[in-house]
Amino acid sequence: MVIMDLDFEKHSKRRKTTHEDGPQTTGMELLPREIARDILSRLPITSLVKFKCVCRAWRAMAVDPQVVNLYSSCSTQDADPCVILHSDFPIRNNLYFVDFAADDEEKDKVKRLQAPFSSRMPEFEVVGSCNGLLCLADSLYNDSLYIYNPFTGGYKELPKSLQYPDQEVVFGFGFNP
Amino acid sequence: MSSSAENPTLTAEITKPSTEIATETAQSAKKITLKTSDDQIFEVEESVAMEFATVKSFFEDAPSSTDTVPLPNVPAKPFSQVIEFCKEQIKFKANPDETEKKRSNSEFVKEKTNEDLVEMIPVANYLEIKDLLDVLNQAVADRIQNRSVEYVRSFFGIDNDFTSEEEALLREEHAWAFEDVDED
Repeated sequence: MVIMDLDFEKHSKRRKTTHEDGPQTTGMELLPREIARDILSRLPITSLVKFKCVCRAWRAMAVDPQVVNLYSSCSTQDADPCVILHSDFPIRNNLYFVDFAADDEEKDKVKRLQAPFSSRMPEFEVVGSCNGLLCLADSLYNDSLYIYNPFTGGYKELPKSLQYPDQEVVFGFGFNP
Repeated sequence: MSSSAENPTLTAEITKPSTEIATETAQSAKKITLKTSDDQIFEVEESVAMEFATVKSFFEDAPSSTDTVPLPNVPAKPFSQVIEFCKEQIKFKANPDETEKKRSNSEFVKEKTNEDLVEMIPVANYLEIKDLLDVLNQAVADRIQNRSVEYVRSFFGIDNDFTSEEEALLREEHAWAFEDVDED
């Protein structure tokens, strides 16, 4: 039995900071970077993701570890929970997101997430969720494991566990701070 | 935009005759002279000026200074609105009432234009007025949330530096976030 205790946050941060083009401006000449970060961290997740399109600097800030940290501290205070649904009907393997911030009656509260790994892993099951991350296992061949951030779309395949020649693996997902 | 209407009242208060002030306690009577980046002179009560951490530390370094304090990064228009906020805040210092304070703060931002808010943020930041900065950042976040990308660009005067291909790709990747956008 293998229990996966992952310090995943650390890895994902390192990866994110290296590939972003990280310009020094915020796109707002007057606004210092820490202010722009603070404002972004107060937005609902849908707006935060959408505003990655505002300009390059905002795209970099939306995945900036400082914003992400501010974000998690803000959202636990406001207690506006996020729910991800894994649905197999009518279409198999779809992930949906319930947007509680869209409190308007006319608005569609349930939004479909486009999984970026669908071609590599057409069928999956959700092993668990932790700190906003999902752990997904390939349910067709049952040999791949992915950690997926549904809001940034970032994902990472985990190394395979091949300790014994004839093993049965049970997955779990947790966070060791 | 709206500040031109507020300036006259401000000037009226400032030019209160000095004899009248002298009857008040020494603490509240003291005025501090501040000069904005556009060379406007503001005479502000010491208690109000001490709300500006930047000004406060200036006087901690030079307690007996009677010089005009230059504020090179602060234009007059947002500064007068910042003073307005700090005057209100002081009332709550003597008489803490969280509900009333919240109501007063939301009243303050409600009547400000988007431009007012965006102009006040760097001033509040430079003067290190934490409470105001918190109120402004939240107000801006409330005004841009669920709006379109274009709305946010014009709100802050940001130029789109993506190529159209890059932007289309980003929008496609996060298509779910673009449903149900509030109208501009």
